[in-house]
Amino acid sequence: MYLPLAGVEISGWLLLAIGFCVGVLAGFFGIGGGFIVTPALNIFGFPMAYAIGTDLAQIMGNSIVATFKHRKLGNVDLRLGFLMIVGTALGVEAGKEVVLYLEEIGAVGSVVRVIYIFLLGGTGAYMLFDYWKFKREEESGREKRVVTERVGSRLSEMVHRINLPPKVALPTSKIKSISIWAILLVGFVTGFLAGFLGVGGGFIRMPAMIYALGVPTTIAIGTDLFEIIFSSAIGAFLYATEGRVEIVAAAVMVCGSAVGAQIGALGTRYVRGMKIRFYFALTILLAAVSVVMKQLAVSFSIPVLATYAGYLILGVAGLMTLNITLSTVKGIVEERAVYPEVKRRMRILLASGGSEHAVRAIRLGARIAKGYNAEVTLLVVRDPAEEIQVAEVQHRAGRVLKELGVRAELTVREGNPAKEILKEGRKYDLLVIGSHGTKSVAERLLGDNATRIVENMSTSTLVVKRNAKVTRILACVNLPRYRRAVVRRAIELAKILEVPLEFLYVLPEPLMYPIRRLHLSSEEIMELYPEKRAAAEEILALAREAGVEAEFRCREGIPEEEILLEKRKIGADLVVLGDSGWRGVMGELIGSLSAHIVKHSRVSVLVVHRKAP
Amino acid sequence: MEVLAEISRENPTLYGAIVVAVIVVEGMLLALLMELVFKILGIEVKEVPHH
Repeated sequence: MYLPLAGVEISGWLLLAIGFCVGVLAGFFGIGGGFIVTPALNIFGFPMAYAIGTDLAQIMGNSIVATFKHRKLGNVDLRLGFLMIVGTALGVEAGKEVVLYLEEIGAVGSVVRVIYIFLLGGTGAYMLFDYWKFKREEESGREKRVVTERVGSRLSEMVHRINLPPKVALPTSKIKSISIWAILLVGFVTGFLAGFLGVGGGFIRMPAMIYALGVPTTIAIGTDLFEIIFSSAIGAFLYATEGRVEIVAAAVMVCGSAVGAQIGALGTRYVRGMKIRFYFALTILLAAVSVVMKQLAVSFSIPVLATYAGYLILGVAGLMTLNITLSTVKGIVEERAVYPEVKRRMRILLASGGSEHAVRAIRLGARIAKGYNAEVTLLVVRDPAEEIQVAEVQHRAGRVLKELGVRAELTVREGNPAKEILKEGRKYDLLVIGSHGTKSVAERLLGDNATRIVENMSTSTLVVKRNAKVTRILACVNLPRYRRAVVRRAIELAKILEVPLEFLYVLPEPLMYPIRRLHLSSEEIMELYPEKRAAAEEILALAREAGVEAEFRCREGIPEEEILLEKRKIGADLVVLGDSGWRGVMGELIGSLSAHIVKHSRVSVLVVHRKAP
Repeated sequence: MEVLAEISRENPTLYGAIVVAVIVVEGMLLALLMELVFKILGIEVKEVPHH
């Protein structure tokens, strides 16, 4: 296609390919990708000013698409984004003024390039060093093994301690309280550098949010993209008013980048935070090498070096795009292969207070997580009333997780354990908690923390009691609306833990029994109720299909009692049952079957919620 | 394309506004379209907890 403003003839497919590459990188790293597209367009014949202007318009469209996706993934902290925009805008203006001053004294070109090289190289080298340090700690077996990303740094801790009002909480970024001035300052500094270097600044802002503000990597990416929408829109408008934007080329590139941005953003789900930082460090280090080559080309008049610099950056972008795309596709394929019915990876929360029973819970939870190939988070709740050393808990949990080859993210909360676990657990598909059983009289009457959590939780919850070893599972299929979920989950667990399974149906004893209990056998109940036999056959067929050894038994009586009796009789050490679902006043009046079993069972209990994936 | 080139020469501010408006609308439409495509492909995207 011919582009009349730039006077360039270029293939539409090539523009689509460039757009796709930059989309993948933008979605994955949270950058605009200006340092890739501008040289690419320049190499393919765009005069520099047109390359920059068209690139800015492309970046704007690309950032909109990528921000939409990241918003859906919960990666955009709007509060932080808006505050950063204010600081950035002021910083860009200040940076521009300094550039104008340097221009006056005739030193702008070399100063900008040298700072650019140091900034790219320095940031890349630091992030690479940080990754290397993390890997070394991981390999040396220290307690940090349990985390897959280290959130925050010494600098961010210092920034959080700045006690200058007004202060603001950033719940999305998991920052309890931070001075607005600190955010504005970081925004200003990154904006200043962006304005000074004449770039979008995504490659500075993303690491700045991570290291200076202590924002998790994926949220830094999403929030940075949100900010880039505004900065690139202003840039695109200004360049367009100068007639330096080829709108058709930009629109075509946005089409390619829209697809790429989806893959890049999805990639952040499958590639862990520290790995993203590693790829990012590698990319900007090679970008720094390319700028050095350009500088050498100018200093020593070797024009061919400038061309090679362009090819280097294109090569890096291409390889990185390929790597991210393959990682994303691999992640999706693995997820489907392990758990075909689920469209996404299961998320498991292992809650721990650091006690023996909590470590037992982590062991069983980790075994299950491994079977599901789930995303695992370790939640440590620090109760102000109790002395809990987070590092010690991390260390003990880390040892167990390492032994089982499971990786987990770490979240630390402070407050009432039951409340914090309830708050955090809702975001997951399965919550695993330990229980010491009911010790005191009050606990016998009211139930312990585990009972309270089960009564109020809307997520499937596994309460691990004294013994984390499972040799036989008992699944109660009484509640019709939970039957499917219970059957499915029980079969999956039996398969993962390689243990036999028994399904139990309890024929409820009517309140006003006209005759005494009939003491019917399982076979006799099924004779009386043919639909129970049909259901049993269907359930057993599912188990057979999954290669799980299973049997089905019926009992008559009060479900709460019969489940506990059957459990004892067959020696089951894990009971799976549906959540009775009564909440609030009804829950208090009628009581919950699941809470009753959790309270009175000495073995582990999994309460399945209907919404389980 | 020639019409757009003409506008950019005669009314640069209008051209600037057109560029921003077109790209914003395109970006939003593409974001929604991609959402739909991913839904059809069965790749569900849900909010994930952060740490």
